Amino acid sequence: MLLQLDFSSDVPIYLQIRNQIVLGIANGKLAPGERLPTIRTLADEAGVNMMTVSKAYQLLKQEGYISTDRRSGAVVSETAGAKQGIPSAMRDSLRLIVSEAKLRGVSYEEFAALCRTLYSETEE
Amino acid sequence: MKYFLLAVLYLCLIPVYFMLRNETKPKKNIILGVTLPFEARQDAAVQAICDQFLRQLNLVVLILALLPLALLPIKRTSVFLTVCLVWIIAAVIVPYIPYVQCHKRLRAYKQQACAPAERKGETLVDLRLAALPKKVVSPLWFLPPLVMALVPILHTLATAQRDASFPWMLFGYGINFLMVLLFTGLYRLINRQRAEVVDENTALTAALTHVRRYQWGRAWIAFTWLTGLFSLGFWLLLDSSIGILLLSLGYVGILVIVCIRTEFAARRAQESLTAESGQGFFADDDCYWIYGLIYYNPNDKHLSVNNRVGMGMTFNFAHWAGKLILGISVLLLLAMPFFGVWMIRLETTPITLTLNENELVATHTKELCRLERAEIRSAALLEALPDVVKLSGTGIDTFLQGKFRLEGYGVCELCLNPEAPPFLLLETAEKTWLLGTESEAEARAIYAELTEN
Repeated sequence: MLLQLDFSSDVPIYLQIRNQIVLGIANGKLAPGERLPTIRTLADEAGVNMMTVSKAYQLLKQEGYISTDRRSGAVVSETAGAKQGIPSAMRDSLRLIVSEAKLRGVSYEEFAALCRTLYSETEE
Repeated sequence: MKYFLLAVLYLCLIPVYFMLRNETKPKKNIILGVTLPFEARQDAAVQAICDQFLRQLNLVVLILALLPLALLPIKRTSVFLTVCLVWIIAAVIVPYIPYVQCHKRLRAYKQQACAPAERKGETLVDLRLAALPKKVVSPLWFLPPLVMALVPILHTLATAQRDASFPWMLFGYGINFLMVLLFTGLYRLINRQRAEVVDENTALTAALTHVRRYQWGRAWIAFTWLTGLFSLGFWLLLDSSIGILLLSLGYVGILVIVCIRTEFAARRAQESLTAESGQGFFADDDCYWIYGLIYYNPNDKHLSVNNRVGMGMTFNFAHWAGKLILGISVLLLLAMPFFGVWMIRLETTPITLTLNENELVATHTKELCRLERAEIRSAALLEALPDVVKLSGTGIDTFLQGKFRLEGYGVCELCLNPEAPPFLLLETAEKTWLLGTESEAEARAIYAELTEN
């Protein structure tokens, strides 16, 4: 799986790392139990500060996408991909996105179709 | 001496020529420092730019190769050396002029003909490959060369006489030791370099990364051992200038050959592995390379990266240390001709001996020795210079100064022009001196006055 970090983007690098790992897990490019690079190695590879990677990993760990231990480093959580429902924070974010789409004139059917397309993309 | 310098000159030019020629062959989707998609690499326009570059490069290198032959009639070694140093600067810079011109043409072609246009500010990381453990050799491999480089230092500290040559000997051995440490560090560094991502194919990235790390890893290990042995050899052959010259030549020669062989082996592998790459998504970090030569990426905290053009690694000149290294390198390059000017001054300044009531003073560009007449035990006049071996100091055609081993006389301090006999052999309680002056009559007069009393 290729991590594409865009330094000209307004999205902070730690968030780009977090988002792309989440996308990778969702579309199966990263399997549950798969080992991730250590903070130091990923920082070396990306040419960024170790703190940046550490922040991304902490976020992923908090959200339950990865787990870390001293022996094996960071691994994709075994529960990632298992049915867990939508947490309230995600529901709030989704509500905001739906509202913004509605304000832009997107109909219910169009929004649902877009959701279906995006969801199926993660299964390719 | 001149032919030796000529050999050194061609040793500078030949690798530059073959390295630049090799840039017309696509490696990791890059031709002449420009990343191109697969289809563009097959385009006749790209081939035409490469052909034009090769023609211009051949012409430039031919002119540079012929120039030193015109220097052969120059008699003075120092003048010859100065012109050679200027030539080396030209040989390092001039072949890159056609390269930069053709690189710019190819970049313009890419902007016009290739879609999508160059991506800006993007860094790619192969996550799966980065997670794999790295194979490195045991640090014990580097211990014997470090010990070999340390032995001469410890021995010199323990036994050598604390005279003028002592700091120079320590400096020389210290440099060798630091070189071994540097090569050891570079081995560690090559394994911490970023993986060579060219597209989404993890197996390809792994192969390319392995090839470079394996080839250069082996080279750095070889260099540590070679430098350790060189340091040991230098220490053992200290009294033989011919031995040291041959050892140094062999060391530098092997170093250059290993470097070239290593880089070409890595590039051949890159060429064959990436022959079909660039057909879909491919990595493109051209925006971070100025003319494909100078890496300038403020988003990268690495100081060193794999070189695109040339050998081994280059520096990230957006990094403060990279800027410092660039500044020092440019200053050293520009200062090279001044070394030649210093040599000319050394070669053309006459040696003078002044004898007054109390002292004998030898002067060249500065005062080199001051002997009180009272401390001179004996004086003799040598009509010819015996065979000498330099232990430390300066030794050029018209000026010998420092500590030398004289056949039949042992270790002496010299300050003379070997082309201007006779020479005064003076013995004091501590040392034996062999001094000379440019005028034969003056030397005889000083000898007469010294022996009169």
